[in-house]
Amino acid sequence: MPNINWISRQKTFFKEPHEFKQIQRIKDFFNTTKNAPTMLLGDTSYFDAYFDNKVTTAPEQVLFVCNTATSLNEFKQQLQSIKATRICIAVNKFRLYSTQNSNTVNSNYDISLFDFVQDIFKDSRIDYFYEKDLGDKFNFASPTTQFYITHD
Amino acid sequence: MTSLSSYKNAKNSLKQNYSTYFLQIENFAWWMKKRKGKNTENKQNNILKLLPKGTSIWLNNFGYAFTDENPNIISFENKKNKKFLEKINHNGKILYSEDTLSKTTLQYITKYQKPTSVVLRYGHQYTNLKTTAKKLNDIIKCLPKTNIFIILEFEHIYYNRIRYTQKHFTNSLLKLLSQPFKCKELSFFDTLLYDDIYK
Repeated sequence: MPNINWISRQKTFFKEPHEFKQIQRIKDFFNTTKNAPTMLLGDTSYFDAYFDNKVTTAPEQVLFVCNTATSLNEFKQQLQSIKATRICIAVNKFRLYSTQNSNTVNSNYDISLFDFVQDIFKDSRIDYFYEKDLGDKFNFASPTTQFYITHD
Repeated sequence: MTSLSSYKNAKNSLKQNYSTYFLQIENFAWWMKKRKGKNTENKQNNILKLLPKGTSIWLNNFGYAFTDENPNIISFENKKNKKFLEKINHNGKILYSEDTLSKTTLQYITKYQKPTSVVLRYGHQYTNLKTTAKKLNDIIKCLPKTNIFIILEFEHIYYNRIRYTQKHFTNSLLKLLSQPFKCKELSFFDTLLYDDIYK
């Protein structure tokens, strides 16, 4: 078996050609701007061919897919380092972890995660998507928790 | 984000499209091996060292792959995986059940297999703390006089990771369980709860 990314591998489980909903959502977000200077961060190999102008500095837009074990401190630093006008962050929320309790955050994980990201991108518009039931959505191939951040 | 409404009707439901796996058996076998490899690294090897003598039942937990290390292992796997598992080479004994963690299956195991240990993993159900505790207590109740080994798979358990640490979740869970368990970290996201009534 060739070594290909998980998304491509899991897509082969199905006979009909298709795209996962969360992947299509990312493609739609960048559809009209895929020629713009784009920085790809994290587990993004599936999107290599989608963007025409990949850059490593001074991006106009950023796609960050966080799909590995990541502490909240690391995640925060990664997000703070992103400077662009259009940003998509797709995160596997089951692979985030904290090293200390924080009783002041919202008790609902999905809401507290949104608060966490919003606190970093304070003056931006954020569209937030997440799934409650993840058992059948291929979250581990492609994160279903996504933040679409734009600056007006 | 108006284009959201134009999503293709993605065929992304395992439950609804399970039958299509049969068309891609090679890929599924590859995936199963990959999963087994992932789980094998630390988890099962650590558990093997802790098993008491006698029959060991492994519930939906790749036990069939470890009969060389312990010939007393009997696997119970979900019936829906039967066709796939028959395609994968292994020497282990596998029994199948509609639901490996159901009361019926657990009572059958207790009555007819009389195991000295039962190994199960918990997490794929995507449950929170209270539901996890309730389900585990139901399982414990059905497995008397048996060493119980529970792998908590934190990659699959839903809890507030911003508010609480993994350790806090584990400690909170231990307080809610109906019997005392010891803890052992198997890997970063996997914690083993076990008792040792036979040791």
